[in-house]
Amino acid sequence: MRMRQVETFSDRTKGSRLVFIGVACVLAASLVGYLVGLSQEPYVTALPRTTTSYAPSTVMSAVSYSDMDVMSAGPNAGWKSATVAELAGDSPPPPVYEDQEQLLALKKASLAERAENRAFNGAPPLVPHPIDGLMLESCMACHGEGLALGEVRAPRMSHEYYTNCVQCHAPLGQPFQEVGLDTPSVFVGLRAPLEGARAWEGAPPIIPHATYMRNDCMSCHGPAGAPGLRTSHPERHNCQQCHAPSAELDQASIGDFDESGFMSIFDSRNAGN
Amino acid sequence: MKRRDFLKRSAMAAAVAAAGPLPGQTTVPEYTESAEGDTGLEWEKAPCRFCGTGCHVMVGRENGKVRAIAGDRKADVNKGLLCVKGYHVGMILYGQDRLRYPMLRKNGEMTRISWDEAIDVIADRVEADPAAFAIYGSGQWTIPEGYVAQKFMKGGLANNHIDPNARLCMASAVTGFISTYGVDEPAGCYQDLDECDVLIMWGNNPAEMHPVLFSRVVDRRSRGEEILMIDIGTRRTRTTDHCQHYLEFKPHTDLAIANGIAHLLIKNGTWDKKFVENHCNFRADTEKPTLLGREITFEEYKKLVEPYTPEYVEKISGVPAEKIRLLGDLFGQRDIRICSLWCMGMNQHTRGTAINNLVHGVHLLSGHFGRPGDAPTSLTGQPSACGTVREVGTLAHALPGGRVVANAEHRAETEKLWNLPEGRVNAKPGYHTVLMWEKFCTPTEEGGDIGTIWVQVTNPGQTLPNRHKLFEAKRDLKDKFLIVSEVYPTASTELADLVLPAALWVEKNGVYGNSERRTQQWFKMVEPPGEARDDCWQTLAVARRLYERGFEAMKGRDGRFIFDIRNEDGSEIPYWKWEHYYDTNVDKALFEEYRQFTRLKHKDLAPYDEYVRAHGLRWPVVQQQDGTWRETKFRFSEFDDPYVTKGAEFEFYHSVTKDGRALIWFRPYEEPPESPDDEFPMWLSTGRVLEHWHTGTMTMRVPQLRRAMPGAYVEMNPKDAARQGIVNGERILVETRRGSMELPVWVEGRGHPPEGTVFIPFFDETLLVNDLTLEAYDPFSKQPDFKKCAVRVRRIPNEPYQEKGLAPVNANAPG
Repeated sequence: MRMRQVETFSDRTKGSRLVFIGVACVLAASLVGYLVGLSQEPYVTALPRTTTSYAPSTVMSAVSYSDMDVMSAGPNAGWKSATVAELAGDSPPPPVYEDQEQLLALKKASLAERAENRAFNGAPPLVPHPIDGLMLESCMACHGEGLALGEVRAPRMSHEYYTNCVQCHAPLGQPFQEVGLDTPSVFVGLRAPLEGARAWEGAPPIIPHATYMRNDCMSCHGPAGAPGLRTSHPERHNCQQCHAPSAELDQASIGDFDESGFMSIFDSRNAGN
Repeated sequence: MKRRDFLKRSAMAAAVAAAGPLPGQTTVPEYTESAEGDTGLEWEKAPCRFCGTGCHVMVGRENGKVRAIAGDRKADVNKGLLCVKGYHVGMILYGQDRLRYPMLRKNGEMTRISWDEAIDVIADRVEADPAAFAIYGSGQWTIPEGYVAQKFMKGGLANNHIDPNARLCMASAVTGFISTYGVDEPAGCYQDLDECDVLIMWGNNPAEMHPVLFSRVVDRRSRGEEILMIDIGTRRTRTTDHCQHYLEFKPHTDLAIANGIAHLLIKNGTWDKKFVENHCNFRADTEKPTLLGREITFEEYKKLVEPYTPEYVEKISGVPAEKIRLLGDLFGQRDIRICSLWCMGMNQHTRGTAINNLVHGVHLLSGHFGRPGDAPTSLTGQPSACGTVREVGTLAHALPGGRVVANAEHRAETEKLWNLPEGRVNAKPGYHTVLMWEKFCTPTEEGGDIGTIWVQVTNPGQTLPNRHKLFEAKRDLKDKFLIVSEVYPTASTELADLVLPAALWVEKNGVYGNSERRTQQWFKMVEPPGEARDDCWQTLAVARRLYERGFEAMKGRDGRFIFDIRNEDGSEIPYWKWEHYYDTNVDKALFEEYRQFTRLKHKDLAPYDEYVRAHGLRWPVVQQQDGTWRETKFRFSEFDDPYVTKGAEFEFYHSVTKDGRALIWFRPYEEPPESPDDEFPMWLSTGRVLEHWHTGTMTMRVPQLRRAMPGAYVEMNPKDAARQGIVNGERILVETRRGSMELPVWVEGRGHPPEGTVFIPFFDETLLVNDLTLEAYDPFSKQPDFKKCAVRVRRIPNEPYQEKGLAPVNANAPG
């Protein structure tokens, strides 16, 4: 961090005054960095015992039908805030050939939204809404085929069918706890790339992420996908005809052949059997 | 952001995908400007840091930091899939409060010191009283780490006071295997899960604790296969949701159920006569029970199981007689494949060895053994409980490779392989876990003859039972000294006198051994933070310091250092100096030395380099005529195990009775050490949750996991809650004879205990449930029973919830 600042400043300074300001800034930055560093020295081995609190106001009681109109929290709160008709009503159909600049802005916003819900690009997304039951059917009701009503989207599963959804997708916590959301972590997860590389302008971009567990392209890039991530040409159905996957990301390597002599990219589910 | 707001936001639009910023992600994320995407990372294999399943992950690195994790598609264990902990395993390295410097308590204050000083402090403690120095280790030790600690204690100090946390975890499984087959660890492998027709879970919740293995079974259903799943448990869990049958038994009575199955097999004449005649002997308890018991005839065995009729079993266990008959009928069908799974439910049990014996016995008696899918399968909770604890033998009574200190021949072999003077290894076992901590927490003048404990890779301050007595009591004993090697502040470092910062997972080289005998290797990928260093180096540096001071116990037969590692040209490598530690692969040198121990019990390991190439290999790994190394999937079965005599079909070649036969035990049901009574009228059970691993030291620092499961709670049955007017989320007082604590109630939450039972998870360091638990342990395995004791719950006067007059939970809800 401090190193990067040094480089930035020294690159930019030409005149001696600028050099002086630069050096002063570096020193100041270093000092601040040093002090911050000092304050973070973990000499304390006492436990952080105040991280979880129990707030009476978040207690969830059973909801009766007569109460539903006035619920302020819980899975049914706000159920009247938008009607299905409203949700479905005015939103325009997804644009097909969009303005490139507008598209980029939309894509950045969608990627930012997407990043909030996972630890790094490729991590299973968290469940962003309360779930009442953990039965498979309740997840599949929306995520089986995918749903889109206006801006509300429940993406279709991007992978083949697995039985135990919450094995990988973490739900929200207990309904009654104030969650200490600021778990201090210095982990910086991999961000989604803005686009796949192209051989030349106009060439179809390659797929910049693994296709394992993301083998249903339409989950994110279909008409029900987030703005900016949707395909501009939904009429074409065979994605990998033009967009090349990456053998490396899909964990196949040269020399990795199965018994019949084919490269074993797509057989991992049965590997070792 | 408050949870309330969070809920509002997400509910408002029913599912606006924007769920609000996650912990630690308050700023708008940056994008990789390059178009390379995920290809910009370097990917390398490693086994997961958490449970005993032993999944392989691919670790994605960039600029010396872990930035992404993927399931390893080439790993046979998990075939590309992980669980929610595994997908986030890379983040455990990056909690902001990682321990970075050695710290010594001076006048009550933790003060930063140098490594050199820290090593001196430990060496001083050893020299002052070698007999009172103990190491408390872990099933999370890598094999080389455990091996070094083992040799340091048993081949050096020779007081044998080394024991692991695995004593709290799978010691009863070990005694169960040894007293049944004469040798430890499961015969089958995970392929049994792919091929079984019936899966029986004995007090086990793999949907949360071994989710990848559980998916391996339940996902078969979505491919059109039929599997009958039976949950024999004391509490409804996520696992129960997938089972056709739920057999709810009164805590501790699983022994009656197993004996009930044996009774029916004999009564119905459906036991496997050929298998039993050719491959089994019978055993029962002596008057004063021992691990090896007394020989009995089949006729005597029949008489002993005679009383366990389905009706009698129903009376003891509460499981309807018809369900016992269902189990008896299933085991009586030789043409189906039955796999039993168990973990802590059977092991954390004062009759743990006995119930392990009985479940093995049911499989042997019915012949459901040794064909793919027919297997009694014990799961482990730690990544190297098998590899490091059971195989390296880091238990108070054991030596590497299945040897024991009490056996003179084993001691002599060990001294020879370690090049030690004859008689160095002590024949007297050291203190097992509970005893070690009891002695440590007892004043020296009252016989507390453990003065120093060095804790590595575990958190006893949170996991010991009855922790007031076995841990907190140390606080007042000024002459006792606690050393803790750790990665984060924990309940253990809180009481430590010396804290050593440790390297974690892919910050070091390592080798682990999983639940299916699979040994797995990985390389160091990133640098540890600050001055954190490998646990293996820490032990070796202390050993070297002692050697340099002339301490005799660190010298071998020829006066050389006992951990002598040399270059090919014969020159010594000064790896004990940290800057030279990675000049050579110390792990490899230690592994090659350790490997020599593994032949005696046919747990043969391949050379280190074979594991570098593989995604783990299951022992015995036997070299073929063409020089390649072949792993063994099904031990004791002729079709796969090269050590079985040709034509024998099955052979238990380390049999207790030395005739190639396994033992079918009769062990009676007995009362638990503490049962509910008028004063403490309910059962308390403890356990884990999917999102957190053990004491949460690592997973509670992963925002995504913490968000999913932020704190402990007490699960109650709705009827019990309604009876006292307790509402969901209300904080109540939970009391046992050993302690009390306040917890929020969760009714109809993650698990569903029956009436008269409450359940509390143990991951939360702010709510230490082991203040309440009982330290009573199994007489053979010395493993405590964390799963049951008597408890009472009470409303707390003036709790705000009562004034608000919220409706109590529905008393008529199913439960």
